[in-house]
Amino acid sequence: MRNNIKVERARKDMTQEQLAEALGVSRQTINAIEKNKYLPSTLLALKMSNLFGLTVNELFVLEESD
Amino acid sequence: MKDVMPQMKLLPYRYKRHGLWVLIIGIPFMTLITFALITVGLIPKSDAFFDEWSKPIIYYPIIIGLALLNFSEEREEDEMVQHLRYQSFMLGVFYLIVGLLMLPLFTNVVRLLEGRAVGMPDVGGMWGALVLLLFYTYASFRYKLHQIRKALETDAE
Repeated sequence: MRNNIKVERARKDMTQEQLAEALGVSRQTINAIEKNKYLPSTLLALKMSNLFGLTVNELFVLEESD
Repeated sequence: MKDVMPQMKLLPYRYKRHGLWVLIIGIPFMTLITFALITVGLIPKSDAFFDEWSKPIIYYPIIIGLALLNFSEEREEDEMVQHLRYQSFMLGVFYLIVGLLMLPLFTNVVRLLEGRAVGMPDVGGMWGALVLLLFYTYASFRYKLHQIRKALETDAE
């Protein structure tokens, strides 16, 4: 699975710190999600997609290997 | 949103520091207490200190200190930290099982290398603790699974 969080964050001109604060998680968690080291819960994925004004499917994309 | 499976409550972050203090000052403190007990005559034989009391004296502060470190929140506690903690507990239990099962093997390899007769090391207490840990973990897991299934059945009706 890949995600477009870094792109969307740049589009909104947000730092990882700002995104983390808005979602109530740590910066290291945002970093881990962006680098595909950690898969967020449905709740966090929904909060994130709400914040960017996208659907979860637009933010997180399934790959053939998934 | 209603939490169907609430997270386990942990101690606040400051207990990590308490855990470290227990580890650092716990052993000398417990030793002092024991010497005080010997002095006032509550422990009648001073040599009993070295064979009967030395293990609890060392293990109590270590176990309490490590438990405080394990069961307190991180400075920034979130879902990834919780996920990592559960993974670590699973790995910890796994390595404990492997370690305890392999212990007699390692002990006997050392004995054979030293030219001594093989024998079973005294691991009964540790195996008992491992059995309890696995039993409590599995019983608690089955109970939680039962609770979830019951809640789902009630919802379906």
